[in-house]
Amino acid sequence: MTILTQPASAPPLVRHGLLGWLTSTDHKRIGLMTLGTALAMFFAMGALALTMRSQLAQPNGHLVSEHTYNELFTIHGSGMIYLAITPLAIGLGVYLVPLQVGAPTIAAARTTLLGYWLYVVGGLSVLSGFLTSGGAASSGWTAYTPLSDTQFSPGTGQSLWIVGTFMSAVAMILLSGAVIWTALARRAPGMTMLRIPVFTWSMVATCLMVLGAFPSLLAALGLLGLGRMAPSVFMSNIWNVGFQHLFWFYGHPVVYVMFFPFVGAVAEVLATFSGRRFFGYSATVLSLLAFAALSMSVWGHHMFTTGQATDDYYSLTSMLLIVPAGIEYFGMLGTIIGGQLVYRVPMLFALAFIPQFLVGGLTGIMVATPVIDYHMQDSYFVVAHFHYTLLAGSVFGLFAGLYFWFPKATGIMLSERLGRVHFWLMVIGTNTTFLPMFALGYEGMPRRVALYPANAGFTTLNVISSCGAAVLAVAMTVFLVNIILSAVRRVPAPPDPWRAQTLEWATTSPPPRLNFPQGQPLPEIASYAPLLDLREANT
Amino acid sequence: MKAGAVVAGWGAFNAALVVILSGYGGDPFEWALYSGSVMLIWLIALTFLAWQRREPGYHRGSGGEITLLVAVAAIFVGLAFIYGPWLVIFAVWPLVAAALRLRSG
Repeated sequence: MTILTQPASAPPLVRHGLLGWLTSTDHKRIGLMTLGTALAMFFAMGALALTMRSQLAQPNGHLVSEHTYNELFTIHGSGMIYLAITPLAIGLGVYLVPLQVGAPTIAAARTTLLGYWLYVVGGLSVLSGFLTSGGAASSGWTAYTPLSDTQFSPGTGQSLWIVGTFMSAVAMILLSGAVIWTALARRAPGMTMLRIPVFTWSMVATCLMVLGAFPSLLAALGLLGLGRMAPSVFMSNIWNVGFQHLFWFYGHPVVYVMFFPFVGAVAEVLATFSGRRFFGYSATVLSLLAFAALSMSVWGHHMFTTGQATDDYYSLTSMLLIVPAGIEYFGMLGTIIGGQLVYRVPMLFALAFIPQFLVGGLTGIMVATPVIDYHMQDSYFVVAHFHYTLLAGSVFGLFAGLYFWFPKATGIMLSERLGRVHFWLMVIGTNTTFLPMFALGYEGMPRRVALYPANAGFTTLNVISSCGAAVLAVAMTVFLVNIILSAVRRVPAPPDPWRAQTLEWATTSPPPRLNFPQGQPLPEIASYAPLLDLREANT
Repeated sequence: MKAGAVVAGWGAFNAALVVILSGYGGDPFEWALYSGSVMLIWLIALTFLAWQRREPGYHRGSGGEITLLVAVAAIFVGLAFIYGPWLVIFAVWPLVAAALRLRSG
């Protein structure tokens, strides 16, 4: 047995009440606050999407003006990416990584809390644009020039967006720094690098991408801010193209930042509910690192149509992504084939993740092929592709993780029945909303349009898509109801309700302030599945 | 597999991709951007290796208020870019308060 190294000095300070939460340096509280805030953002941005789908449910819709529609898709897109999915991905790491590596605290706890607060401040700054006279930012999540300059985006909404996005990007860098530092330097005795759970490995790869790519976004936003103060900056085309390079150097890896942690979550869920250890661990770890490195090298495929990117190189590196992705899929399928599958709610979401995310990935390879990209650029095909990646993929992985770790974090179980209703509504809603968009894009419907003519042939598919969005709204409502009802009923969760495999399940639900009861030995860490080792040794 | 080697190795993989990019004749801006990122990764790896030689500290859980004060300062610095530099004055006070709290332990 490995004895957990606990600080022998004074016990940690624990404040109670609201101020205790707001100023807590406990990674679990910071993680839960980040996840809670990001979920609130997710619901708010989802409401904006529902408004857009209502507008598009009929040709020449008049629910909102064209300018308002521009604000809606800008804040929906940027809010989902900067303020919802990225913080959800990294927040999950803030909560879980110290527990999974057997650490009593997160490294740089105050920096972690500062990261959370900068994220909140940044989010409020972006959203406060709606309160200004000119409205919120309306130049898309990419904020290309000249759309985002003072001539085409006058008023303070765009400036608030730049400042807010800058702050939230700094926040994600701080949070990621703390998470990767913990994974690399705060591991319990016996937890070698090749005994780290797959989820924590996915967080290591995620944080490497954040640290390598997010500074480029800071530079891009700085340039954008400078351009709004001194418009002559963008008189030179060098900086218009330079902005796009800076932006996409961040803009592609961030997509991986938004799904890697959920691939890790799905891996943990599949292994647990298959009753066996994850298949092909070493190959999966290496493929995660290779996948992350390659993701840094493909940004130019977003710029094929500008004629300012090296098409051959970016097309080649984009194709190479298939190799590590294939290895990860091999690992996931190898885990469930021959396993004794238990179809609990986390497992349902994890199983749905596999084919749905595949659709997002394969269509990504299509649009990373220059000749196809010239046809699909800025069409609804692209919208369908990235929603299959981020909603059908990442969000399903997120819910697999939320249902899986909710009992650990709160000490109470979620309703299985409502979870199943939530799952099936999500599957129906997601595919009904986004599958028609592939056809819409292929037939030529451009993205970011508030109106389309009745004779364009887009009406039926748009109606189907909008119906799907309504189903998704119901699904999310069921999820909320599930959380509220479960909080009222308070069915207590045991330390390990799923017969899981990693260290966080060796402590109480919820874990104590220093993660593991003081003086209590941790299970011996001889592999990446120490609790499974323990069970196998006892049988 | 050593922790520092993971970060450095990941940087090396990216460096190889930069070399391939230069072989394709990419724009100098492209490879300068990518090379800069690789340098940053290696800097992090070096920092980590240097830090690893020290005994890791333990944070008792105090000082969370300091971060709130810094966040308040950040609001004013951010707004100063939009509404004028005079707003920075309001950022000074929470920063001073944070520094004093940090100093007093």
